[in-house]
Amino acid sequence: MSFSIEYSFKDGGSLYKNSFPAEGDDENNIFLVKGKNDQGKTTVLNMIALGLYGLDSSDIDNKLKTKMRYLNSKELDECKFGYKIVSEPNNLEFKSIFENNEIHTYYNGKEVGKDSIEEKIKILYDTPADDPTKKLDSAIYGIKNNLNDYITYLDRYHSNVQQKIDRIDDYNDKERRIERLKLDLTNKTKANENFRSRLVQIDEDLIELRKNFVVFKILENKQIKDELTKRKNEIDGIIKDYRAKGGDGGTSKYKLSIAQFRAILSDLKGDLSEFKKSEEFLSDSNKIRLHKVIKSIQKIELPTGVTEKKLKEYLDDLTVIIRELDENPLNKIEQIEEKQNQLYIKLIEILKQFIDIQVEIPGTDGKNINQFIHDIEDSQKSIRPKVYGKQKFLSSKKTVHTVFSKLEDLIDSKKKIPNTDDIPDIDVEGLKKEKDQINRKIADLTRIFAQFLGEFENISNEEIEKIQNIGNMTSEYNSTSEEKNLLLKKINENDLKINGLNQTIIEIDQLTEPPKYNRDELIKKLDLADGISLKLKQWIKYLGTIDFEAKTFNNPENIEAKKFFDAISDYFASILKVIYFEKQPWEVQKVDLFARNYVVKNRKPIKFVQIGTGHSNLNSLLTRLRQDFAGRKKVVLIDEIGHMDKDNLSILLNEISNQVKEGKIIFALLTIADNSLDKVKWEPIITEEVV
Amino acid sequence: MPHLYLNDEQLHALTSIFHKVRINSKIKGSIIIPLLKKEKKNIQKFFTENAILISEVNVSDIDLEDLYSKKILKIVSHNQEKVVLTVKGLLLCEYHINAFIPEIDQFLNDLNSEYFDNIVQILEKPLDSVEKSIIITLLGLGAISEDFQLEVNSNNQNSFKEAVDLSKNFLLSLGDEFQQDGTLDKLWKSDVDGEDPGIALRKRTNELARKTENIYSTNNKKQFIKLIKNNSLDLKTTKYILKKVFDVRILDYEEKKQFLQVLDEIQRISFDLFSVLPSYDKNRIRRQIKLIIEDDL
Repeated sequence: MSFSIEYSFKDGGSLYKNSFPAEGDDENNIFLVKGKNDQGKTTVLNMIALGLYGLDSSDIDNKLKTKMRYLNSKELDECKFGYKIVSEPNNLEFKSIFENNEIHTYYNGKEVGKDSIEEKIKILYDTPADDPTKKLDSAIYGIKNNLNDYITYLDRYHSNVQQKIDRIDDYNDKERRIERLKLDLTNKTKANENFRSRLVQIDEDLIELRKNFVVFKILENKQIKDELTKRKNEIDGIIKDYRAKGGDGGTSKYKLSIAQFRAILSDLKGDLSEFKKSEEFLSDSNKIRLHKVIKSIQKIELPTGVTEKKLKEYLDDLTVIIRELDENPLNKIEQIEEKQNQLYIKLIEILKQFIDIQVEIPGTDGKNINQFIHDIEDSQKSIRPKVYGKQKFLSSKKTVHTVFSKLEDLIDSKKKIPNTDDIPDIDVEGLKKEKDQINRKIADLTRIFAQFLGEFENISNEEIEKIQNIGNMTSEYNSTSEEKNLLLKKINENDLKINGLNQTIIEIDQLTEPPKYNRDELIKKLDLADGISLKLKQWIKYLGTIDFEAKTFNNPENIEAKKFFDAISDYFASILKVIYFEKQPWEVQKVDLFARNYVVKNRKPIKFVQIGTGHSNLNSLLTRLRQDFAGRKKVVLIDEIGHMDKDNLSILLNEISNQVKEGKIIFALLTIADNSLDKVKWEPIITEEVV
Repeated sequence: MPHLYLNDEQLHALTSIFHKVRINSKIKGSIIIPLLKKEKKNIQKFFTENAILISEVNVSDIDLEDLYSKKILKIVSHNQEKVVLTVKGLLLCEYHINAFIPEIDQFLNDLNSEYFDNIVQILEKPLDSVEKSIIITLLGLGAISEDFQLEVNSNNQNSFKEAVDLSKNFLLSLGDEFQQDGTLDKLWKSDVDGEDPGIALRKRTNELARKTENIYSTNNKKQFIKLIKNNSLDLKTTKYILKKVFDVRILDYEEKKQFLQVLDEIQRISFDLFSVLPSYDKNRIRRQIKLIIEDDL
């Protein structure tokens, strides 16, 4: 008994180049491979599987196959290995070498194919870390797969038989069908001939009808366009009038008159403070007028803020004020006093030049120049009120006239501004929208017009006149065009049908006499295949209802289903044979899906829920280990055994050891994660030492 | 000089139909005036009772098409292949109108629209692409007989979806004409999250019975297309339903072959959807449908 392996492996990271087991340990066939994760424990396990079966075998767990495929990937930097298994009880030596993605297998020193290995050796692969219920489910899954495979075969069989029947039927119907299809072909061809000659006629009619259509289209468009343009101009007129009256922001002329009004008003307001000073020359009643006018003018901000009538009233007030000013006596002051005053001013001016000269002025009782100037000033003072009062008065009067004149200007300006009451009450926005729509319609019509213009230009005036006399035939043109389209559709459809008929006729005509099958027998086979397919589908449905984790399982009303579940319960028992519970094996007689328990010998039934995870794992593994694979020697590969408790592991190893001794197992490798180890360690299980 | 509206053959055929209407309705004087005074349902009744088989109209195909396009004759049942003289047709016959005057034609069309089109409900609404895929699916599954109806439930809905998808993909492969309505794109988009495909699809097929003159039938979650009558295939109805499915375009030779193959593929799914085999002769019915598709479609 011995095993040894050498391998090198690299996938991006570091190169693993190892040989196992350690020297002195190689005389064993059962190993517990311990080590940290990602140190290659599972890789070695996969190498052993790949070296035995290669990738083409169907007798291999899919999960394992995926891992084996990875080892064969050309993208790996390096993967090569060589191992040897020797089993003296069986007188067997097996060797496998994998290099450059090629496997060479040797049996007792002779190179053999993988099929030959598969006949001799059975790989038992397991990962106990999986959910134990999956084991049971995977059995169901396997059955379902098989059933589906059968259905696929049945489908193929059905299809083959169906083809044979079709061929017989097609051949038997040949003459009758050809005759019928030819008649159909003749009818369709004839119909299309008729349709085509009608099409020629329609095309002729359409020449004149089209001209008529184009002429009337153009005329109609023109008429519509004219009407629209007329309406558009009408809208333009309305809007222009509206704006001239100040609506919609007004015209530029309107805006200018407003600006003028405001300029005059501003000017006028500037004169008002001066204007107010004239009140001292006015009677109380006119003072009230003056204040009224000032206040009113100050209030005006916009032309709309005052009416022409009001302005005229102010003008009337000013007329009354002016009248009073005209009657003021200050208008009549003598000119002599003014001249006297001028003279006094001039004299003082001259005398002031000699003010420092101390001389007596003759005729003044000895007064000097300074004293004389005072005398003159006193004289001037006596006439000053009269003189200055008149000047002030005249200035005020002038201001009143200026205000009067500007007020007149303001009235003139106001006259030029339309009264806001004159703005017509119209929906300008609506009109603008209408105008936009009209513009769009006109653009559309122009486009349509352009579309027909080329054709229209080719129609002579004489023809146009004639067409107008005949009248509008658009409706007939449209119905004729519609008829043409319908005909074209029919012709096209018939052509397709004719084409199809020709092909079918050719195909049928080429039919040769089929082999002499018995049609009735074929039909029976077809029905039989259908019946079996239906039954198998039914079974798959039943299998789909089995759930080991569910608390209950409904008893089917259907006798057929009941029979099925009885059979499957027995089948499950035959797979399990024994289950381990309470640390001892129990022979399973039935897996009762309805009562949810295992019926075992010499004990009351064990409920599904009573069997814990560890037990299920063990049961599942033991069941598989104990299966006899037609005498094939077993290679046991169990990945990640660490989830199993010690007792169960011990039972498992005991079973393996016994089978090794009996020569049923030639090699067993069990991996277990152990983070306390720096390197991977292959621990041999010495058969004699197993409890 | 106005054009003649109808040719001699058409006039002759119309006179003959009008005569039949007169005999059938037992009216001696004017037919049209008392008819227009009737209540809506009585007008409907009148037209239902006076429909005749298309084969009884003795004119060429081209003239028949002309009579349809001029709204003189109307097909009231594609399934039963029946036509009826419209209000316009009755007016033309009763008043011997045979000159094309656009204004009069327009007037007659308006009368026809008011008193015929608006009143006589013609079951000619086309099927949308989802409805077409349902018809193909039911045909493929063989749910074509009252005693072999399809019931979609939560256990078999995925198989049903698989069958409908085969139909859907076939229709999509035929080109744009069969997906213009856009309904196939939304086939499995249900309004309610998690709604099962069966329910989602039933919502989209609630007009199917009306559109197919009740050939499609649904009741208590069960559905089928009534093509088998008295244990044999109703050829006329089968042709009618297939023509409704392929109304937008005639299938070419290869497409017909492809269609037959799709029907066979859908048939294999029927074992997932039915627990028994149909009572009708499956092989004979399949043969008949095959011949209709190959020779008549």
